[in-house]
Amino acid sequence: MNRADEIRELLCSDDPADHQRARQLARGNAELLVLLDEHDELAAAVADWKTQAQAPAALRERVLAQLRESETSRNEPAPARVVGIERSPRFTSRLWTWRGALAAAATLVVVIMATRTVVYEPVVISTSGRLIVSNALAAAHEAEQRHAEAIAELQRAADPILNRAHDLQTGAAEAALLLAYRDRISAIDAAIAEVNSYLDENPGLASARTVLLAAYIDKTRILEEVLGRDDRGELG
Amino acid sequence: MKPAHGASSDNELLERCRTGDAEAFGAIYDRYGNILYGTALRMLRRPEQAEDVVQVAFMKLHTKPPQPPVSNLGGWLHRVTTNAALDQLRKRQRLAEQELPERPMSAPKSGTGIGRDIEIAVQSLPERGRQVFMLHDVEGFKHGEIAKMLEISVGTSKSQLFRTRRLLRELLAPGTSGDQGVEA
Repeated sequence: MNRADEIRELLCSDDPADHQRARQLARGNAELLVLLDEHDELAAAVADWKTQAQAPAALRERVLAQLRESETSRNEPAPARVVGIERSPRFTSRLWTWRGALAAAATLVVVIMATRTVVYEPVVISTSGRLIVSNALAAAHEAEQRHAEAIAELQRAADPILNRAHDLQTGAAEAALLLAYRDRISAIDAAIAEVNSYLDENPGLASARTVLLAAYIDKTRILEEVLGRDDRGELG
Repeated sequence: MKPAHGASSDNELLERCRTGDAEAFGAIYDRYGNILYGTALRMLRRPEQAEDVVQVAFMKLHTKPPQPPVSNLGGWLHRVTTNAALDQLRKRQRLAEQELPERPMSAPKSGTGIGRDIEIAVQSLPERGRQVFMLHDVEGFKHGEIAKMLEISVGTSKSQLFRTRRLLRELLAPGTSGDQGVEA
């Protein structure tokens, strides 16, 4: 490396001592001193450039209007499972999508509650088709186990992505999206836990197993969506 | 009585922001809005995207403010804005928008000739080198910080800066048209 490049390299350093060293190396050499002048000129040009941008006057009102709206939303009683989601005009359409998912989760809970009222009656084993026979029950249980294991695998892969919701480096839009995914998954987890606790008491009811399967499928779809979006680089 | 904006410290304003005081947000915007917009505009070169980024930064201040006492609110906002602008650039790259003709940044209303020249010259730089130069020489970040932001090594950041400055010198040299492109 020649002396000029050495000086230029020292001037790229963050350490002021390196800049001092560059000036020492250039001392007494007119050609090398030009390099220092060029460096100072560039710094001055940058400083001049930095003073030129003026934000549009309307931006102030736009920012404050969004903050006011966000503040208003924050002070409103939050619907279940949507707490913590940043609201802004930009995210409104997404919120509607999430509401659909939340409605689905709520439906699951309603179905569970409805079936629970039915099974408060003593369960009678019969061949009418309402209760599945023991062999089929074992097969269903095994299939559910496989589902649960596959989902656990997906969850392990998705967790680091979902945890980025609280990372300061994550953009606001991505963080809001990640929080929404987490909320949807939590809602489904709650439904799965509810159905499972019910099935512990009433293992033979086919409709409950259908609900459980639907919840597993829903959770799988959401986790795959998270992983897919991350693969496509859509989650920050 | 509330102190005037100019008399309030960043921490006082931040504390008032936590209680939803819109006037305090306005005061913080008045203090830093232009600077943040300038940072975003220089990095993104698209005024509408720069506005979006400033909005994201202030939303972050609202939803996830730094924990008080804050020694440098301007620095915090600057970093959030820079990261949001880099996110935008990454999205733009992913969408292959960089292959479309760049819409030039509107010409500055004031400033010396060299200020205009450097703006044009910087626009001609290869994207990665431009980012490193912008973050280091214009926005004042250290190589260690740039390495984290751009997910590159400190050595790469330094060498990119070295090469980019050399390109800029060539572009800004007398007799060189600043608007000619530079091969990456």
